[in-house]
Amino acid sequence: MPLVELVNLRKEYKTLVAVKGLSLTLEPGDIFGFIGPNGAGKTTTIKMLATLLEPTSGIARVNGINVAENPEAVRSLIGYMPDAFGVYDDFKVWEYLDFFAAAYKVPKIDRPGLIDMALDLTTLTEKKDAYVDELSRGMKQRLCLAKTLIHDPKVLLLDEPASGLDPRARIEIKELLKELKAMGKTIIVSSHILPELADFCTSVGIIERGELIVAGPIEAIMKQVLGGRVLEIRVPDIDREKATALLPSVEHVKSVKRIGETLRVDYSGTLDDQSEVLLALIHGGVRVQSFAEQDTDLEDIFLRVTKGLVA
Amino acid sequence: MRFPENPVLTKELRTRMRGTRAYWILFAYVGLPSLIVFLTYATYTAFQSGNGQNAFQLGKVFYSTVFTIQALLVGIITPALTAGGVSLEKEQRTYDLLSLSLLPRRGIILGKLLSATLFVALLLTASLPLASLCFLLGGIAPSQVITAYVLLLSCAFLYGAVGIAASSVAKSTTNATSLAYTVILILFFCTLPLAIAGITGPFGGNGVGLTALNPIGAVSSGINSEVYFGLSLSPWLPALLVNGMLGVVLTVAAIHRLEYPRSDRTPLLRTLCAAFTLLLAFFLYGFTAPQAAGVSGNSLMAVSILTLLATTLIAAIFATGDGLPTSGGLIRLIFDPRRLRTGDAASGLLYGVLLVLICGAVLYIGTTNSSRPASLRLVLLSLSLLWLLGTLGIWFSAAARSRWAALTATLAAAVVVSVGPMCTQITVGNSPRRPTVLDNLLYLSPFPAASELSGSGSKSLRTPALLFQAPFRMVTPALYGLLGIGFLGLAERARRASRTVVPPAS
Repeated sequence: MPLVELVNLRKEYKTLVAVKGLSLTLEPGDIFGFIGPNGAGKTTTIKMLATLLEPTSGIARVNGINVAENPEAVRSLIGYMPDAFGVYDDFKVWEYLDFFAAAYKVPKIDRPGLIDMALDLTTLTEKKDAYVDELSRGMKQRLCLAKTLIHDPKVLLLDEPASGLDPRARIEIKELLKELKAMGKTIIVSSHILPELADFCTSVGIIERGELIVAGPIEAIMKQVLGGRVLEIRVPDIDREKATALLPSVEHVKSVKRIGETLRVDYSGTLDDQSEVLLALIHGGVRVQSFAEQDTDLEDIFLRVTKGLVA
Repeated sequence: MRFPENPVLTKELRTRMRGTRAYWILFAYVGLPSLIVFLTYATYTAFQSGNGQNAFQLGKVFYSTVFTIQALLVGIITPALTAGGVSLEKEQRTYDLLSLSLLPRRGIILGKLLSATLFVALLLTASLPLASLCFLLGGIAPSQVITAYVLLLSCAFLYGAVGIAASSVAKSTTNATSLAYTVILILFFCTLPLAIAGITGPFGGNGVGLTALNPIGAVSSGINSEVYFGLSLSPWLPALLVNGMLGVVLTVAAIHRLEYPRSDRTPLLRTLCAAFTLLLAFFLYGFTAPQAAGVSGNSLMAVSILTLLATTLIAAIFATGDGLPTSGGLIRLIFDPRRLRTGDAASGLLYGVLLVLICGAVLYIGTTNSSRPASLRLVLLSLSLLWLLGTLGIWFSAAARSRWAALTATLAAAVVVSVGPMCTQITVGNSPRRPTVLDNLLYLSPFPAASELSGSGSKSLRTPALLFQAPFRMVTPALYGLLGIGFLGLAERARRASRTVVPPAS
């Protein structure tokens, strides 16, 4: 049974359709990166999963439990960290965690140990007795993550966990997420910044105007969107015409584009077949200065599939 | 038995006393009455001579000064403690995290309310030394002081509940605070006449009840007793019951507002409201109705005004809502008794009928035989007024699809219909008023009809210009019935229109 399952999930506001029939399945241990421009429907989807919003239609299930029908049961399974959240003034760090542990019905006797563990994981141990409003933004973010973990949820819903943080705090959050991945948590993490997610997500989904445009493991998406890999070939100026004419006839070459001094080739063949392209060029009398596979990342995919539109 | 843990209560209690704010409030709470008591003492001693034989008089003055100021302070402080309860969490963006926890909504509301009430209890305790000055001087029984404290605490609970209910309704803390203070001011000034009558002695030869409902009245309520339908009670008991019950109704309403997904608390809320109506009807009719035998026109008029006012409020509160259900016939939506458990405007009309009948039953059973025909006529008039305002509320709800707009419009319409026609009777100078065609507007107001209830009736309003020569008490209900049918037609049209406006799912 999938741990998280969204079937045709839809959310309408008065004049706006925020999420249009979104479907998704996540297995235990999956780390799903939810990517999309601001206002694409990421937060709405996460809020529906977190039982904060009622779907207009469609079904969202966590561990087989329908979110709309039995939100109480779902709440103990999920840990939700919103993109913008406040903390209580006049509250100490350990009191904050103790408050949420009590709110999640963690037995009183287990709380001190769990609080220490959560603080240790988020490297906030030395701030245990500090007041919450004295913490830096990055620390507050980590504290919120510690709060999210306090009842040991199976699924973590993290909405823009690293937004608004400086580079160091960003890296710390990233490390923390890797640790959570190692702990076997299933995580849905949203971001509008791609490199944040590329490192540790097992799969990603790109959402725009409420629609999931592509979803799946990163490699599969690359193949689906780019149709394979991108080769960057550099040839001298005088051979460039010849190479441009020759390349399309090579097997698995889908298109050739001239970008500055290089030729950019979309290639759908395997890695072994790739040498055929070089061979064909050399046999054709083209002098090749460099031949390399371009590092395609999420950013390329994102720019290709989205149209820069926001719902 | 272990007391169930409420993290919100723990948090509120823990953080309330942090910082200096709580101590400043405590300082002001004890300092202000101390200063005024000192000034009272100084004034008293300056104008009195003697050897202290009359010290008990000073004791009484101290008592009323200390508790009157406390009553005002409780009214000012308590709503401020709870009015931000929910809205401030939303503004500070802490509400989502809190509402996602396994803490039930009632835990959140009760935690906030209880912590505020406990803080007021702390303030009241801090004032004990001041209150004990009365004992030093005499003139005041310990039971009076205890009663005053208990009633102030019950007021604190009620005002706290008003604050938290306002907080669950309003979008911002500013709105919640102003709403809470407005409601409390209305409550205060509506009950003030009773309190004043209780302090200065009964007026108009009638007994006075519910004097302790007002915090000022609570101060003087220790020794008197009040009679309801022949039953003699200490004044604190009715006040405690009415304040407590109203507080409970408001608290449940606040919990109901917050619930997501809405677990249906409408049956509970409506049962509580019916119980509250029964309680209020018992106490209000209890001290006004025994004289309603047609002998005393005053008390019959008082009963009528109370009943018509209650009917107006019932129609405005229960027969309005955010639109109407779009499926099913309107008549079935209104009259199907199974729909009483839903909370929409359509089912509110039948529920209102139930409430008016509860009031009518209390009045009928409680009054003497000779005044029963008059009470039946009053119930009939109230039901017709309910029909008029209820159908109007349903129409407004269907058209505006906003509870607050419909509620305000219904109340405004009620004021216009009741008071407007009476304005035509205003005369300037001593010259007698000439009958005009405008006199026919009097049929619209329930008050001319109410003035005729006792059977003999006053005929002062009947003029030759009137279209029908039948009594108002017969024409007005018939007119209301017809107008109500018209409003239902308009409601159905508005409902159909709203059904077509809904954008199709793309």
